[in-house]
Order: sequence, then structure tokens, then C-alpha cells
Amino acid sequence: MSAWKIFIRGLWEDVPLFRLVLGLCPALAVTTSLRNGLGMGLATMSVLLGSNFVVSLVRKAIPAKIRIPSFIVVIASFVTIVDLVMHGFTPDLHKALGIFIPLIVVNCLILGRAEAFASKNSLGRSLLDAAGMGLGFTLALCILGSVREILGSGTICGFVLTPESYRPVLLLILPPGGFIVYGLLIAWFNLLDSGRGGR
Amino acid sequence: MNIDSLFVIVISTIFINNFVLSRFLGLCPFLGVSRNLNSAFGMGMAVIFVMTIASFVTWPIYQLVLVPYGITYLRTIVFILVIASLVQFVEMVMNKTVPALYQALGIFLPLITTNCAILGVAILNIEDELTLIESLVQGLSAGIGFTLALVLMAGIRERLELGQVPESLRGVPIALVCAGLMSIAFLGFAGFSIK
Amino acid sequence: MSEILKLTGMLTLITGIAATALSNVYMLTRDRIAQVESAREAAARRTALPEAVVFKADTTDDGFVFYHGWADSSASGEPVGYIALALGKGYSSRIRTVVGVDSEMNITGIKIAFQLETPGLGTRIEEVRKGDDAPWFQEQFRGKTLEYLEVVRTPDPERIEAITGATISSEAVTNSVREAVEKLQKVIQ
Repeated sequence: MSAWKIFIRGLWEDVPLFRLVLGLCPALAVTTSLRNGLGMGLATMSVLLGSNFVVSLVRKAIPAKIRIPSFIVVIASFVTIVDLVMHGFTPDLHKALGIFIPLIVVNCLILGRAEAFASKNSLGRSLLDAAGMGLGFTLALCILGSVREILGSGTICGFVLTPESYRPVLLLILPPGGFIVYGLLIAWFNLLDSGRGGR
Repeated sequence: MNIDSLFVIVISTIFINNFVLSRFLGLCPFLGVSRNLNSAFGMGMAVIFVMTIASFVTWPIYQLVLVPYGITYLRTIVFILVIASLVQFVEMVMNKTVPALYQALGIFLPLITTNCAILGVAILNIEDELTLIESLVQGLSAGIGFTLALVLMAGIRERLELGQVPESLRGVPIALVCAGLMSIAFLGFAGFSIK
Repeated sequence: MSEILKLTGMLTLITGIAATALSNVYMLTRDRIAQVESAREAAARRTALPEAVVFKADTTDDGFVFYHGWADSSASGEPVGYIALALGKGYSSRIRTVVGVDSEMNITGIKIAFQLETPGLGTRIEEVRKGDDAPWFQEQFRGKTLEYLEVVRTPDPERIEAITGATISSEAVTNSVREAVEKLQKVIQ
């Protein structure tokens, strides 16, 4: 697989949220606005880059039997680092994302990439994979966040978009809206595929 | 400590703030294991079991080890390791002592480590400043709430199999839309004001 | 047996390295986080008791923490007001509110310090309306006395107007503020 292919795969063919359906919990919980979605995406991407880097670096030294616990330790460490740094430098975002920052640990996407890719591939390829998947995840969160923010509160990044007469669909900001918007977005991706003759 | 406050925790954790439908925790197994009622029930039982024990174990570790030594920043890494080892331990003990139960729940146990509802409840117990008993009750009720949502979902999905669903909506998308509708129903509990 | 020992040793080593690395990151970020938190607290105190410039913490015998606030930096004479932390069980979180009162027990301001309520509903306790520069729900408390701390569904300048669709959060804040003021009253007078 060429380097370009590895990178681009996470952005379209295997977009983590829409195709692989991985990493759902944070995706639905925090995407009530574009800003939160972007913040969560970037936080997850940082952890993914860090864990893929370390896992790929030590992949030959780790015995197969303790592979999974070792990966979890690596991931948990990067999550804690991201948590501390965000608390110090982006306190408002840290407050808004709440317990979903420590919960990045159990985002199946990260352990999945460590196990399926980084533990078998070279450093450079693993980083490319993390960058592609991370960007794809961030992008998907941004789409979800934008749709819910624009329709649900009539704003984007806090700027008012819609005319005064528009009554926002509050439901989309509430928990049910997360499920429904996400479900319809996956369906839309499926529809795009079948329109192009399927995969 | 009184019974009232425990009752409030039970009702609000199961219905008002259902872990799956309003807190968005444990979605992966919620979608992954809800194709069939029997396995949904098995998974639910395994989660209730592990969640209750995890609440009971992580609370003292946090309050009696991490807080006194000023190393609360290690919470994430310690909790996830405790939960992972706990799951392993439960698996071993169950296999030795109650093989029948192990037969039924065994296959779900490895999946539980990465169920964010377990880590979620352990962290929420700390963030909500609950006592040990309250944490235990919250862990148990969160598991029950999870099972309730999972079993309901499995029931709906078994029916959906027979329905005519547009092709692009088949599978996960329609399940998510159904979950959204269930979540609206659970929003109804929000009107409850329990004091 | 030796394999188990080797694997255990290996895992312990990995965890040890991780913990060491984390403690270093913690050392690096600790001051910054403390700074952010104390800036947050100072801002909350400024909103709750705008007149005061110097604060001193105090604890009653039963563990209730409150602050005296003075308008002059020498902190002499009678305090201009007091500040306490109100805790209320909201819809999906424990809402923490910093409450300020003057010596007559009139509320000088409140500031919500922590909440994780439902986005779009309960979180509106912190909503700032277009054209305003302070959250309207919290501004309602300014100048109120204990007997007018009551949640109503219709606009009423004398009382506290609830947020549509978020009565639980509105009441949680109002009730916790009332309790905090009652406690302060008992302690001060």
C-alpha cells in the first residue's frame, strides 16, 4: 500500500465514524456544536498519533501475550497527557468535554489502530495511518457538530446564522438528535456508495 | 446516608439519565450486541456484574490511594488497568466456580474492558462526589439501565429484520434512528422531579 | 513459571515508564492548571461580589466554607459582603454556584462555576443573550433578597424566571442559592 493510500484511506474509504462505526460515544455526546466536535476530534487525533508512534516503535519488543494491556497503558498515558495539557491551555474546552476526555481511552478506534496497524507497520506508515484516521474522525465529528449546531441552535461556532423567525430544532441538540442525525448521515454515505455502483 | 438519596440515584440513573440513551455511554456494545435478544440479555447481565464490582473497587482505590498521595492525575490509567484486570479475574473465577454461568456470559466478558460505560461509571462516581455505598448503587443501576436499553433495542431489531427497510438505511443507520426514538421516549422521564 | 515472571516484569516496567512520564508531564502542567483554576475562582468572586477586592476564607465549626470580602485592600473594618459556594442537584450534574451577598443579605451576584446540564436546555443557565454581556438567568439574582428567591414560569422582575424546558436546572440553582444565603445569614448574624 502506498503512503498516500494509507493516509487517504482514513479520510474517505474507511472514515472511522461513518464506515467502520467506531468511536461512537464521544462522537454523539459532545457534538452539540462545531467547536466541541473539533476539539474532541483533535484531542482524539493527538492520542492516536502518540499511541501509534509508541506502539510502532516498541512493536518488536512487546511479547504477544501482553500486547493488549501494554497498548492500553500507552493509550491511557497519552490520554492523561492530553487531559492535563487541555486543562492548562484550553480550560473552557476542557470543561465542555468533561468526562469524555478520559473516556478517549476506551475509544475502540485507538486500540483498533494500535492492534490492527501500528503493531505491524513501520513508524512512518503508522504515523500516516494515525494522521489519516485522526483527520477522518475529526472531520466526521465536525460534520455532525455543524449539522446539529446549525439546525439545532441556528448558530455556527457561536455566530448566529439563521434569521430571527427561524425556530431552531432543539431536539437535534438533545440526545435523541445525536442518534438520528448520525443514523441519517451513515445512510447518506451508504447512498453515495450505491450511487457510484457500490464498493 | 439515607434510603431516599439511594432511591433517587436508582431512578435517575436507570431512567432519567439512562447511560446509553441520554449519556451516550456504552454505545458500541449497544449497537454490536443488540441483534438478538438472548445475547443482549447475556451481555446486559455481564455488564451489571462488572459495573457493580468496578464501582466497588475503583472508589476505595481513588479515595484511599490516589487522593492521599496526590496522584489523582493517574486516575485514567489506574482505573482502566483495574477494570481490565477485574474482567480477567472475573472470567477466571467464573470459569472455575460457576461454569454454567461462564458458558452463558463468558464470550461477552472480553468485550467489556473497552465498554466505556464501565470506565464512565467509575469516573462519574468520583466526579459526582458519591460515597462508597452510593457508588455501588449507581454502578448497579447504571448496569440495569444499560441492560434495559440493550434488551429493548434487541427486541426492536429482531422485528426490524422482518420489515422492509430502504437499502441505505439497513443495519446500523436504522438502529440509530430507532435509538433516537427510544431516547425521545426516555426524555419523557425528564418531567420527573424527585427530591 | 519463568515466562509468567518475565511477562509480569515487562508489564510492570511499561507501567512504571508510563507513570514516570506522566508525573513529569504533571509537574510541567501543574502550575499552569493551578493558575487557570485560581483565575476562574477570582473571576467568579468578582462577578458575585463586585465591590470587594480582598477576600479571606473562613470555615464554620460544621465545615461550611465562606469568604469575607473587603472593598479596601487593607481589609480593615466591616466586610462589604460575603461569598459562599452553593451546591445543587441539577438534571444531570451537580451545579456549583458562587453566591455573593452584602452585609444586609441582599444578593450582589451569582456565578455558575460548574454544570454539565443538557446542552440547549439546562446549559442555558449560562446563556448570554444577543446584545447582553452577562448571562440573563444569573443576572436576575442581583439585588434579590431571600424571600424573593422563587422560580416562576412567567417574566417577573421581582422573582426568578425559569428557563423554558429547564425548570429542574433553574430550580436547582435557585434552591441551592437560597440554602447558601440562609446558611450565610445564620453564620453572620
